[in-house]
Parts: sequence; C-alpha cells; structure tokens
Amino acid sequence: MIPHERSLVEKLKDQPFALIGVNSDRDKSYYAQQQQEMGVSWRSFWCGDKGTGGPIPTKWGVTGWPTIYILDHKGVIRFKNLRNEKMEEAVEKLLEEMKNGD
Amino acid sequence: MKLIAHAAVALLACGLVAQSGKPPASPATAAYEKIVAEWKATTDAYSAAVKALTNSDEYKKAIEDKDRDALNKLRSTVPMPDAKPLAERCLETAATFDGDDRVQFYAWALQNGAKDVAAKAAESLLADHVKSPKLLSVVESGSMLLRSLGQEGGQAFLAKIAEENPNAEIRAYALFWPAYMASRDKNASDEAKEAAAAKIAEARTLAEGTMLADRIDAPKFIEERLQIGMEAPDIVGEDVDGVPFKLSDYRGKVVVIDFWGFW
Repeated sequence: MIPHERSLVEKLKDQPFALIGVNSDRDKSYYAQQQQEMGVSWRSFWCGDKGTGGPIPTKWGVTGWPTIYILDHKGVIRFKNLRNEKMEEAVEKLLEEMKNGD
Repeated sequence: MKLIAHAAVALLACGLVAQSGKPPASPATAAYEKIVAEWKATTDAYSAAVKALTNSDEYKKAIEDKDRDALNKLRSTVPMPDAKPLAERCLETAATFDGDDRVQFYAWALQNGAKDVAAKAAESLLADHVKSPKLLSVVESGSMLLRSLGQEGGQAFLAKIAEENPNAEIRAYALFWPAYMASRDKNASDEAKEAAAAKIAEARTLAEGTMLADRIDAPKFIEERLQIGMEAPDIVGEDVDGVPFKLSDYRGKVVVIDFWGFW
C-alpha cells in the first residue's frame, strides 16, 4: 500500500487532491522513524495511544485496516475500499469530473 | 525566617518540576512504568530478532525450498517472550503499595499474564477494588480479559463489577463484553442472541457520551452516514505532530481517507 500511496501523492501534488490518513500506530517515535524510512509525506489524524481502538476508527466502525473512503470535491463519499491501481483510477475520475464542472 | 525557607523550598520544587517537564511520578506509577518499559524492551528485542531471522539467507532459503522442518527449527531459535515472570512481579509489587495504587499492577497481570496469574490478579481486584474508578482500564479491554481468564472466569469477574461498581462507564463495559461475544457466537440460540442484544442496549444507555457508545452505535453510523452518495461526516482531530485539523479543511479537493498504520 504505502509505496503506491506515496507515488499517487507525488504524481498528483499539483492537483486538487489530498490523501488524509487516520493513523493507528500507538507509538509516536516508531511512527516518526517509519515515516522517514518509508517517505510518508501525507498528513494523518493520530488516533492516540489506543491505536486501532481510538476514537476516530471506533466512531467510523473500522474493523479492518486499511479501510479506504474516496470523496469527491464536494465531500461526498463516492467509493469505498479501492486499493492501488483501482484507487488511482477512481481519484483520476473524480478529478476529471471536477474539471468538467459536474 | 522559617517562612522564607519554606518559600525557597517551594520555589526550588517548582524549578525541578519545570525542568523535567512534568511532575515527578508517584512511587507506584514509577514502579509500574518500570515494568511496562521492561516488557516493551523485551518485546522490541523479540521483534528485532524476528526481523533479523526473516531477513537471514538461511530463512529465505527455507522459504524458497518450502522446507517446513527447517522453518520450524529456525523459528524455534527465536522464542516468544513469556510475560509470566513480569506478571508475577506485578502481584508482588502491588502488595507493597496501598489502596487503588495496586490496581494498575493487577490490571497488567490480568491482561498479560498466564491464566493462573491472571486469576490471582482478578481475585484481588474483586476482593479489594471492585468499586474502584481505576477499573476502567481493566474493563475497556474486555476481550483480552475474557481470553486470559477464560470465558467462564471472565464473565463472572465482569458480572461482579457490573453489579457493584458505581461508575456508569465501567458498568457499561462490564455488561457489554460478554453480551458482545454472545452476539457474535454463531452457535448461540435465538433467545441467547435476544438476551445479548438487550444487555448491549442496557450498556449503550449507561455508556452515553463515551467511546463505548460510539462503538455500539457504529453499525448504525455506517448505515446512516457512511454510504456511497452520502456527504462524509467531518473528522476533527490532531495530526501526528499535535496540530489540530479537520477533514472539512480539504473541501474542494478530491480526498482519499485512509485508515492505516505502519505496525
């Protein structure tokens, strides 16, 4: 997942696109080390020391990781749980839609 | 003169507190943190050893050859760490403190220790701390508790807490876990499932305004707020650097929300 997300963020850096993480690592120092090692540039909500049982995944009923929601520029949920190439295709489609003023 | 001396001592104390960034921990908390740190060092060493093993040529070759015997032999060179000695030390350490200071040690032993140590910790908690507000950390991770104490022992433990603890959130968790497990049991009868649903509803009422309420409400939240075509609910929180932000800050952009972790 991470290498693909990294390349997607890099590829779309000049587009109206954002990848927002909800990160469930418990240990911030481990996060910092991995972030550097893996070249993670996107912003994440941090779920606190309860990790996967933190407030955001709990409220959203997340029981599997990764869980993905793809929103259009109006904030509407358009796709769920698409990964890698399929995620990229969906994002490109929504960017196209936005450009065409749909 | 005496007054000035007191003031000087107080100032000095303030200075010390400011220097370390937080007030010094109580002896019980310090002892507890030492145990937690020791276990973390043990598990970190284990993770590093597993990583080294799986990166070794020998291991890679065994994977390639699908040589099960060789793999098992290699894996046995990195044994899983055993929490039992530390859990036993928790029980001993708890006895050197008084009152609710003991709860955190019992909680650790209960959640990490082998069955017999966990049972001893549970017994002490019920005997002396059944009304303690500190039981929240124990009941929050109820599924772990039902594992370490066994279904029967775990349910009896939680039932007593549900009956006697005055804190609504603690009682809610104590009611919730056994009912939740029952609701997921494929072999449960319809009556048992109905009883479980009633208990979960009771827990939900008690849990109003807490994370447990969100947890119980989650299937409904998904159904009513998180379907394709619906406007996504806002998320308000902090990033990993502690800077507050909202999902809605990104309105006007195509957004991928990714629930993830490195672990």
